[in-house]
Amino acid sequence: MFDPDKPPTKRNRMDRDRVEPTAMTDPVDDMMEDQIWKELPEDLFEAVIARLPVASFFRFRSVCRKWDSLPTSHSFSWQCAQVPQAQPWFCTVTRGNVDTAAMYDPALQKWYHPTIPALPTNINVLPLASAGGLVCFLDIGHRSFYVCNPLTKFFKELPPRSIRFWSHVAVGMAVNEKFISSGYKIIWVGCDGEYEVYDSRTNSWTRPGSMPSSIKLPLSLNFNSQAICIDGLIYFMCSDPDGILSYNMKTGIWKQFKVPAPKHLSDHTLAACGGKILLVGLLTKNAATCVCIWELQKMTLLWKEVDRMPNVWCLEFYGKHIRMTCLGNNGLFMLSLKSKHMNRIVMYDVTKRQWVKVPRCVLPHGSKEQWVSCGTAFHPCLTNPV
Amino acid sequence: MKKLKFIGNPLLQSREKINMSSDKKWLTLKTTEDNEEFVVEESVAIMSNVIKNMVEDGCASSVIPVPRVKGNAMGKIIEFCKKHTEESDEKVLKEFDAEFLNLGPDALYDLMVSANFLEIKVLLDSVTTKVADMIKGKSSEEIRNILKIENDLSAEEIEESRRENCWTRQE
Repeated sequence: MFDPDKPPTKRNRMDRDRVEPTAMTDPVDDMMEDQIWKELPEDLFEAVIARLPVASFFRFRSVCRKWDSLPTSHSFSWQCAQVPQAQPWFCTVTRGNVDTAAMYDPALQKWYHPTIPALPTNINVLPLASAGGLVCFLDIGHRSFYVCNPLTKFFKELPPRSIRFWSHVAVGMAVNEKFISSGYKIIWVGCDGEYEVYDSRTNSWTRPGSMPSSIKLPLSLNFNSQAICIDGLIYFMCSDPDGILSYNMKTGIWKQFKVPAPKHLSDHTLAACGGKILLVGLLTKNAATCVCIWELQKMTLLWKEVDRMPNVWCLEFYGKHIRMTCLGNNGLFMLSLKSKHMNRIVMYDVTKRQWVKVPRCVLPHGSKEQWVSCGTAFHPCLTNPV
Repeated sequence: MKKLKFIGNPLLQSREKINMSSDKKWLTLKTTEDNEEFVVEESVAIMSNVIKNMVEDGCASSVIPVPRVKGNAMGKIIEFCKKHTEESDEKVLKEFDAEFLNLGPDALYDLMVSANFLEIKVLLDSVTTKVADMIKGKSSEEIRNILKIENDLSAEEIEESRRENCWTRQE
C-alpha cells in the first residue's frame, strides 16, 4: 500500500480536519487512485454524488463551480429523486430564535449547529411543517410564512396572505407528486374556519371555499400538534368535539371525524406511519407519567394503545410535572421532555418499535444544554425547488 | 468458434433441448464487442429495462445483440440479476451485494457503466452507493485529482464555501 518512492502528499487544513482513515479503508483508497475514474460520464458521477452522506456532499461543493451549483441542477435533482429516502433529519429551534437552530441526524446520532443560519437572524420563526425536504416556518407574529431547505440554505418568503389576522393558525404542507419539483402546497386554518392554500406553482394564496356547515365552529384546534399528511390528505387535531379534521389537497373537501381522547391525556400530537394515523401523548395517572402511542382504528374511530415508553425510563418522571413536545411525526418521532430541572430527548421508531435516547443538544464551544422546544422532521434534500 | 455460455442448468447440451424441455422462456444475449453469447431466462433478462422494452415491443428475436457491454461485465450482470430474481430475503441480498461488489476498479467501472446503459436500477443503485462509500471520506483536493477536475473556484469562493459548510465537520 505505502509507496516509498512517492513523495508524501502535503496535507492541507481540510485534510487535517478529516477523520484519519483506518487500515480497513486503505485498499479502498487505492481503488480510487486508478486512472479509470476520470472517464466516468457526468450523469453517473451525479448518481454517485446523490448517494453521498450529507456532510461529504457539502464538502465536495468546493471541488469546482459545477459541483457548487448542483443544488439547482435539474439533472442532479432527478438523480436525487432516484435514491431511496433515508431517515428524516430534525430541524429544531429554541424559543423561535434562529441563532440557536440545530439539526439532528438520527442515522449518525449527531447534532449539527449551522454557523450561518438558513434564515435571516432578525426574524423569530417557528418550524411548523415540512414536505419534500423543505421546512415551512411561520414568524412569531403570525404574519409571514417562509419556506427553507435547512441544508442548502435556500429560503423564500411567501407572498402575504389575503386574509390578515394574527391569531394562532394550524399549518399543513404537502408535495404535489413524489418530487419537490412537482410543486408543493401549504394550508393554514384558523379557529373561525377561515383557511387558505398556497400553491408553489402559481406562487399565490387562494381561498378554495368555506368550511362545510356540518363542521361546528369555532374550531378548537390543537396548536401543539403538527398536522400530518397521508396521500394528499392533511389531518389536524381538534377538541370539542375530540377528533380529527381532514382536508383533501386535491379536491378541497373537509371532513370531520369524532374520536374520543384517551383519559388522562396531555401534550398530545397527531402522527403517522405507513398510512396509519397515530397519537403520541403523555398519560398521567396519580404521580406516574408515561409516554404512550395509540393507533386509530379506522372502523371504530377509537384510539388503541400500541406501545409505551419502557417503564424504567418513565420512572425518571415520577412525581414531576412534565411537558412534552413531539418533533417530527412521520415514522420517526423526536420527543423532547422537560421538567423543572431536567431535559430528556427520546427518539421513537414506529416500525421497529424502538425507543432510543438522543444525545443532549449543546451549542458548539459551550457546555450549556439547549432545550429543544420546537421543531419538525424533514427529509435531507440536496437540491432546491426550481 | 463461438463461445456459448449457459446460465442455468449445466446438464443441458444444446439450445434446442432448453427450448423444448422447460416452460420458462429463454433469451440469448450477445455482446457485440467481443461476440460472447449468454443464454438466460427471460425473467432474469428483463431486470434490464432496455431488454424488457425490446421483449415487450416484440423486437427480441432469437439473439439479442447488446452493444457497449463487454462479456465479462455481462456475465457479472447476469449473475446479479439471477440472484435478485431468485432471492427475496433483504438481508441475504444485502450480504450478496456486498460480496458481489468486491471488485477491482476496472471491473467496478465496467459494471457501473453497463448497468446504466442496460437500465438495471437495482444494480446501478448498489454500485453507485458503493462508489459513494469509497469517496465519502476524501477531501475536495483528492476528488479533483481522481477525476482530473480543474479547480475553477477562486480562493475567496472556496473559503466562503468552507465557512458556510463548516457545520458539517462539527463533532
